[in-house]
Amino acid sequence: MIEMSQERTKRMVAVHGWSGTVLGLLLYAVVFTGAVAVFASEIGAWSRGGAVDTSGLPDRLHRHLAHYAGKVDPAYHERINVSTRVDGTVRLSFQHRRRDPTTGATDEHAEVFFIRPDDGAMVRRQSGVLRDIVGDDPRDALERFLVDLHVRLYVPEPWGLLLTGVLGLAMMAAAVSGMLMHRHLLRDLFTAPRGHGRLADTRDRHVLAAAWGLPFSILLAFTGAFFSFAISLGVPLVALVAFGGDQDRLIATVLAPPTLGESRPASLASLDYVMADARIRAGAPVTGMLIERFGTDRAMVTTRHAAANGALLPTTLSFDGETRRFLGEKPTLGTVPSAGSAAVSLMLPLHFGNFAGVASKTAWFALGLAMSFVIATGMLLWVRRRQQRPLWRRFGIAVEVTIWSLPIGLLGSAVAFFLTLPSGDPIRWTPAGFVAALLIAVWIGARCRDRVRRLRSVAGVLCLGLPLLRHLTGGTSWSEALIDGQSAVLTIDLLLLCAGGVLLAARTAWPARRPAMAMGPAE
Amino acid sequence: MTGVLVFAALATTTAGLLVLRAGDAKRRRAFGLGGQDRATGRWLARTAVWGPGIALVAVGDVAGAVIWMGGATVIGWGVAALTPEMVVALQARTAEARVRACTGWRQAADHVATVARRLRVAVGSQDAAAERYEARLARLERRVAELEAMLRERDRQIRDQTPGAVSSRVPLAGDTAICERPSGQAPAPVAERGRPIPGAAASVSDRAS
Repeated sequence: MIEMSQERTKRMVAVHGWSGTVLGLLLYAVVFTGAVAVFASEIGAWSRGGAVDTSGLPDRLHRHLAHYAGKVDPAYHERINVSTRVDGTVRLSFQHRRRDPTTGATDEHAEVFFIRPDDGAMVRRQSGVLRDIVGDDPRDALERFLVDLHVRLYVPEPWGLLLTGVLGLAMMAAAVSGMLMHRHLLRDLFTAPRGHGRLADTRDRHVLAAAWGLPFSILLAFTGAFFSFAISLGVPLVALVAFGGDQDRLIATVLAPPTLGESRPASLASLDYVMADARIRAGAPVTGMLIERFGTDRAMVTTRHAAANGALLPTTLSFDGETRRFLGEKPTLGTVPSAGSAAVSLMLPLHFGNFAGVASKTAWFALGLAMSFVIATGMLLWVRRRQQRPLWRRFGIAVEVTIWSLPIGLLGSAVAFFLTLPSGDPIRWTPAGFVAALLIAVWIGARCRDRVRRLRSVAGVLCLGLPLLRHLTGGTSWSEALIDGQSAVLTIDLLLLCAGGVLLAARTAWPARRPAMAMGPAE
Repeated sequence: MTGVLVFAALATTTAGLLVLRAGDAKRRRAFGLGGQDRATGRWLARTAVWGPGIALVAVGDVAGAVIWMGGATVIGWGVAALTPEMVVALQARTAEARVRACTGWRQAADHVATVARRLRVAVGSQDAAAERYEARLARLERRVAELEAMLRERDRQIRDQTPGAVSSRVPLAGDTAICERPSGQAPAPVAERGRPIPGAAASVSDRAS
């Protein structure tokens, strides 16, 4: 129990309420999309009709890599990134940084080969600026849209990241102030809504969900704010102070190993041997590989691994490229292990919840939904206490509409994705579908008195219709998915059907309540 | 392995949370529930809540421990959010569903058994059918032989008692009803009383001829 004076409690209530209310709608959007984005890769696999198991790089890659290295300009031997793709191909990306003489900006240019893992045959080749190549596959549009919406709310850089960073801080402020002002946090852990009126019930629900989710609310808000500010503010600021504004030099200094002296030509050690060695040392398959300074005696091979069974952190190992000698575990930041690097390493899995496959993702998804519930009930509680004032009453309607419009918008983006995938332009239409569905939902919410029921019905119909639409637009059928072992396709289809059924059943099972923001006796 | 351990840990934690919820003093006061909280039960429940997480860390399954922590908070919220009325309603619905499921299963099992029996009869092999017929014929023939033996024995007895007299009707085995009929009433024909025994009829006609 935390004792506070009445004056301080009032201040805490003000901090808690205003920090949650001013940015509450955006905060709800970030948290809810974050909960959905936990399953972004699975949703991506579902939307594109399945994914090949890409848990590790295939064996015998050395021969293929040497073959394709001979096909590109030696300048591109600076960095070679090897990774697998969900379509089962291996991506060999030969990269080098080049300054554009006209704009003065430095960009990572790449020659990318997509090859078949068994015989090394080329599936396709792409050249150009790396970030354009990475984001040009229309089949990834839905997955990328979900992640972008969560990370930067689709606001242009760097404002989007700054905005989500501020929202993370607001969430932290609300969580900490809530903890301080609620004096009987532990004692109320089992106190369910007591049915003492609508306002009291909303308060009980909000307090109960917030009390249980408090540690993870603080954790997720902090890590989210850290990543947003680190990219949008931290890196440019440090670069400005210490590197004259050159962010590439900053990144090279912090992340890349030191290169000392002149290099001479040398052949690369067997990558197959390095991969086998790395697999044993990490206790997990190699998910990606980086070869720096290929073809020189300064070559270095870095292997990336997922977290081993029971471990929280992924592993990155370094090997000498010429002698295949093991150099040690590579820290996330810097070239030697440090507390800062360990903290950043820990923050990544704790924010994304991807450290133990579907089990950890399910837990993080549930935590995200719980946080969304806390934000929604918090805002409803705030406006219901002030519903006598017209402005707050209108804000209350906005809250109710937003709570249901956001899921409808996300479902609308999926509808637009499937409708435009055959024509090949879902990258543009997926966000447009989101906006269109959102506007329709807002229109319904603004016009109808029983807005919650109607919006719930719309969401239910969209949930039921999506699997059918996916199938009609050429998506993988259930029988194909069963034969190919595409569990994501089946699971998400079934979840959507269940969610749709529940939403529509809830529409008929639950009696229509009086409009939440209608004038009524004070409770 | 992580998945199994985490599932077991969360199940144990849920059990502990349910006990803690049932004994929570403030909740009982708020909902006007009776009963007393027992200290021993509370300690056991707390051990059940926290123990699995500590055990996961102790065996080195840090990932499992973090999943357990996240899962336990969500489950804890769900457990606490249920009001006593909701719990009662949930229990009633569960019981109803269980009964319905049991009845359904029993009906389904009966149905399956019936279908299987019909199928067995319908698609039974010809050999099995022939075997059955042969066995039945053998039984019938044995029975006929027995009856004929009985008839012969009866005839012999009648002949021994009244030499020269021949009965127009030979009583059959188990035909006690004929003897119990009231006097003056003619015995019913064999065909009326049931199925005639071919062997017996044949032997009578043989005898008559």
